[in-house]
This record gives sequence, C-alpha cells and structure tokens, in this order.
Amino acid sequence: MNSRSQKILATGLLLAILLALVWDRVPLADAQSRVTGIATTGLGFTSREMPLNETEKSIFGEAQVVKRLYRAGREDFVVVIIDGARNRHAVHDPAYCFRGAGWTIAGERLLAMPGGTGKILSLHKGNETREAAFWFSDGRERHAQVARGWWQTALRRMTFGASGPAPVLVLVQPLNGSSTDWERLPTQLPGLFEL
Amino acid sequence: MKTEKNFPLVGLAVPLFCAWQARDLINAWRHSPHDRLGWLALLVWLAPVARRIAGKKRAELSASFILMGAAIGCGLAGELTELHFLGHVALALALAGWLKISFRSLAWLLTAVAWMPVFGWWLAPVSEALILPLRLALALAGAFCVWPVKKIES
Repeated sequence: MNSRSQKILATGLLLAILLALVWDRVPLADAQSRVTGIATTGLGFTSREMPLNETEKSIFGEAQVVKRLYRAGREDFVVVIIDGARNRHAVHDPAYCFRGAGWTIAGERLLAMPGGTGKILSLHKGNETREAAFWFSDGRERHAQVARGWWQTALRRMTFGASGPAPVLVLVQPLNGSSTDWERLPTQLPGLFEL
Repeated sequence: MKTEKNFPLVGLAVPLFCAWQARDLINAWRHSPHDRLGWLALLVWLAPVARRIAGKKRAELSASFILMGAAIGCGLAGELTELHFLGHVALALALAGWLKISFRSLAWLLTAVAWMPVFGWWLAPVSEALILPLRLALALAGAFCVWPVKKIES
C-alpha cells in the first residue's frame, strides 16, 4: 500500500470515527409512553410487575422493558414488552433466546391479530411443554418477522427516527402449558394490541 | 527505538477501529450458549494472518487497500444501522486485509462466520454441544485454504 492509499484510508477512518461518534449522540424517539402506558388492570384482567433478574438487566441495558404477570380469567400470562430504541440489541429473536434457555422449538404457527400476525412457538424441555407468542408492533402494524424487525430499527437509526415509530417486541407466555386459546387473547388482554 | 516490524499505522488502526465496533463479541462469547468459546474459532481462523505477519520482513508487510477500505465502510454501516453483524464482517475484512487477495483468501474470508454469533443463530436448531466443533472445523478448513504448503521436490 503506497502512501497515497494510506492517506486515503486514514482520512476515511477519521471520517468514519467522527460519523460514528456523532450518530451515537443523536437520541431516537422511543416508545416509552406506549410501553409504560399499557393498562395494568381492566375488565376481566389484573396484573402485577415482575422484577427483571440480573441476566435480563445486563441484556436489556438501557432498553425500556416492561415485565408483568397478567391474570385474565383463570389464565396467567407473563408479558414482556421491549422497546429497543435506546438499545436495539436488547431485542433478540425470541426463538433463539428460548433455544439458548434449553427449550426445543417443536413447531410454530401464525396467529392472526388486529393489524397483522404474530407467531406462536411450541416449546419442549424434558417432559415440559409450553407455548409462547410474540410479535413486533409499531403501533399500527404487527408482524413476527425478525429480519423485518431488524430492518425497521436499522432504517429508523439511519433516518434518525423519520422512517416511523419505534417498533416494540411483545412476548406472551402463558403459565398453563399449551392449552391457551390464543384467538381469545385480543379480547382477554386488549391493551397488548394497542401498543 | 526501532521495532523489528514496521506496520503501516493505518493498517493497524483499521483493525482496531473494527475490533471496537465488534466489541459485543466478547459479551456473546461469554454469555450466549450458542456462541460460547467462539473466540477459539477466531484464534484458529486468524492463524494464517499471524503466520504471515510473523514470517514477513518489515519491508514486505503491506495491508490491502481494498479490504481495509471495505472494512471501514462496513464498520461505519454497522454503527449507523446498529447491526452487530456488519461490525463482525468489518473486523473480518480488516484482518483479511493483511493477506494477499486471492480466491483462496476469499474462501478463507467467508469462513470467518465460524467465529461470528450469526453462525450460532443459523445453527440454533442444532444441539449446542455440536456448535463449537462445527465452528472450529470451519475455521480450520478456512485456515487450511490459505496456509502455505511447501511443494515436495521429486
């Protein structure tokens, strides 16, 4: 590499460092009001906050996270809502996280919901069987495509939030094994579909 | 004080910039069950670069302008989009910049996924116990691609 090439690279590197520093300082509009504004009680449901454990705290970092135990009728649901606007890396592919926690994904199917579709994962660990549903929501559209979620957040970051509202990840885990009637979820916990 | 090796400063600065951009790797290797000990695959994959730097005289050491430039671009894109994967690719490109570009070195570059978290994500349905051996096997295959082999005189 001749000295001219080295000068070009050095200039490019300095520009990249400057841009990276500036970009990092620009705050993005988050979804805090949507996430924290979700109803804690309502017709047919109650809830209580669940504290994050140390591992979760380290993973989520500055991301806005709500973890709550909802009781709707006789069913209990652990609901986790993550707004990754302040730490995009807090939002992972839920299937990947479940596998990391020792679960096997035995199957998955789509869940129709207001504004789009979510995904239901069937989970197995030993003799235990569970289900979990997740979706991404920007307040208007809902989907369960992880790559699309990444693209949405990347585009927001590049446009300083002009590309649309911050998408949040909603994860719902019933505590009663695999007998949940998912189609009833929008009527049981309507607040989840207003995020 | 003169050093034995005379690295072009920018040839060191670019990998350092990219290593900073890819610092999340440490967290992934420490905490993610699918990525645990992934740094071993990086060491294996990196062996040809270490060998080249150790074996060359200072006048012969030169980094690739194209790969270093691509590394800067990729690292910046990773920062702007907040996609860790791009930061990892940038680090691979910056390290690969120390080898001569050839079909074999490009094949070796592709095997850099062996130490990246994306490899664990792709192989998430596979048993965790298999992922590290697969990482090492891929990194080793990549290293063999560019490892200099002495011709046997007949």
